[in-house]
Amino acid sequence: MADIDIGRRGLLKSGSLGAFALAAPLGGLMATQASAATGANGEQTSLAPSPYGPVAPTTDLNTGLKLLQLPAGFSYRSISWRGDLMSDGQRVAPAHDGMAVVQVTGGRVPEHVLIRNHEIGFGTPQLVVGNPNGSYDTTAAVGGGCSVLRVRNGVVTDHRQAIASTAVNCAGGMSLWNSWLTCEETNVAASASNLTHGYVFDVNSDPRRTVAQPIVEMGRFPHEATASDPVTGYVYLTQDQRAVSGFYRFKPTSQVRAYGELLKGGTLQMAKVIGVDKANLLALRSETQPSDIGTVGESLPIEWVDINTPDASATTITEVGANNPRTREFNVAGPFAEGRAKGGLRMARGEGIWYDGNGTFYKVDTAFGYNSSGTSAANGRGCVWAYRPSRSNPDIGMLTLIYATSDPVVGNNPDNITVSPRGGVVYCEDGGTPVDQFGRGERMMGLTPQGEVYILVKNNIQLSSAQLSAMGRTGHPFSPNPGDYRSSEFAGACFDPTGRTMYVNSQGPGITFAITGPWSRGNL
Amino acid sequence: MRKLLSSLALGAAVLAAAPASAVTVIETSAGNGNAAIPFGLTNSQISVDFDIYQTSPISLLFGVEQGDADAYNFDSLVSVFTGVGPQANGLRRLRLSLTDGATFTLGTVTPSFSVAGVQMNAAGNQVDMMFDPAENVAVELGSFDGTNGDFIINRGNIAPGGTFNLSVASAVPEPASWLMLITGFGLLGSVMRRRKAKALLLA
Repeated sequence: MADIDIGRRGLLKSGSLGAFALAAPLGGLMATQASAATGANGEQTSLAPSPYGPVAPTTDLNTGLKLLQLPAGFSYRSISWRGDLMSDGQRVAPAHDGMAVVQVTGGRVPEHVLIRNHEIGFGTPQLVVGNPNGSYDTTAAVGGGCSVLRVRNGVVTDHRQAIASTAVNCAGGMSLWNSWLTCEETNVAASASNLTHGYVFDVNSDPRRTVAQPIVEMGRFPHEATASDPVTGYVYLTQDQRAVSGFYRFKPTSQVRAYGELLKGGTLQMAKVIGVDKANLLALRSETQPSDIGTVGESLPIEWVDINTPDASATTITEVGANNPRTREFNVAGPFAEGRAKGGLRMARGEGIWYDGNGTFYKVDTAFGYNSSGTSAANGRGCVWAYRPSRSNPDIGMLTLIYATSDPVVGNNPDNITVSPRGGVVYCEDGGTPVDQFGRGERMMGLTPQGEVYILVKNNIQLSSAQLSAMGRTGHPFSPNPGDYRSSEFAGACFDPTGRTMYVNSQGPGITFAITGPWSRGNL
Repeated sequence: MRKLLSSLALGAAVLAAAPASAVTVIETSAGNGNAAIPFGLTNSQISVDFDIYQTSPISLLFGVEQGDADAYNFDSLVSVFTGVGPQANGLRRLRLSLTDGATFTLGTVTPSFSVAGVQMNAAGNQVDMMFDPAENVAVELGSFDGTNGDFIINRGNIAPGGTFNLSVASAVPEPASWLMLITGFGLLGSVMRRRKAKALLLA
């Protein structure tokens, strides 16, 4: 406990972070929370200027269309649209979502291997060609899954289905062995097959080797994302279930870091604030609104409680308590019910999580805060937490609120998050379509080292029938429809290991982008 | 990924590894984090990759050996790290130069994201490549799948035992000189990605 023996607000007030000091860029974030762009509680109240400059419509080098707004000097190629013919003879599924560069192969010209989720529930199932073990729930019309893309200098050299017949593959995370942990964001049973859903699956970058077997001991709940700790091998897990989301981790039984080892089981745990039973982290505290978190910059010491029944079915619990801003009966996932009964914390809606390679996990809560009328917690504009596990005692850690806002122009429900190899934080938004100084369109945001968000990319996808026809992207059920897709969320942002190319998806109509530019002009 | 090789160590390594009948690298000059990585040297092939972090030149002094062909196929992967390194402008221009009477025959120029304009001077010993938008990932010179599309380095009258210098300069011209370069010489052609238009430019 020596390196965590500080008060809940000790990090900011002491000015001396001691052994638990947050390394840059988080250290920079903490140092400047009281800037002009923040309110008294640390919430950001205005957009920061981007270190990369303003965005403007920019031409896609593959289609000639202005699909994105980017800063000057940046360029991009759109690849692997929904409906495109894949290397396995199938068509690219729609609803592109979480993604990562899981491997770099090739010789003189590196090839980035990306695994990409498709957030589909019931729909037309794909096949993992040549691998019947690559499909999970084949007797029900479960259409979710992942595809694997090999991209060489901005051009797809191969893409194919990597896992199939899973449900609502929202996000996921890289494993420690060049594969992808895909998350089912649901916990409903598929009626036709009686197989349950709401699991994590390990997806091999070689689809022929994928075994679509759920890692049951990672828990059955609406999973959103994972992030693996290379030091301990623990896998941190987020849950996307409004007002009843826990923060979990999985301690694998096997110490071998290889594909399939997670199926040998382990222990699921849920985060608990040390000294606080059933902490409520749904919104900031005010004079009239209770909460266990009061200001941006505040830190909470964390311990972990075991979940003994990770595959328990959903149940009903009643939230009560003096410090509870949202008290009523909730239908909750089984692991949440158990963890909450043991004092575990709850969040609004867990979304993306990403390890920065330097001891910090950045974790999004997309609905942190109150609605615009201030009446309903877990309905706000979102926040970003940073979790730093203790390296001397892995059973504890520190959870720090590093960013929050209640202004929809400043922040509009962060979702997937990533960290560049240089340590800069980027997240994708998924709120109602924001209208800002650059017009209408969903956004990707960067976090400055000073802890303020700025606009990095805006969605500018508007497709006519003539444009789709000219591209040959018509005629298949998966082909995109003409329309205005500026309201579609970005998802799956990730960098290649050199930091020169950032990949990201637009969920609608379903496009992957490879973006490059003068990253070192800013912090990414 | 980053291959920081000192010039002397690199030269020595290549000398030790190269077959007796192959063209050799006698000396390499690369500063500011830039690097040259020769890995395919035969009596008819020069394959050298360049890592560019800053806009300072890289040069290699080649020694012609007995048994070398009159011309070498040349290909290269120019990895552009300026966008993540200390200089954030990306690659706007790349210049290949030869000395001692050696000349080029143009090959394919394939930037990862950008579009290239390519021109060669009348003497045939200098090739300028201009990229718009700036390239931040890589440029492939020639083909890695064989000789189709490779540049050709003609050694002219350089006899075995002689030398020539190949240099790569990535200077970013000022806007005025950039404009003058384009309008004064004119573009030989705009080389799109090889997969879209597999173009072999000839002088």
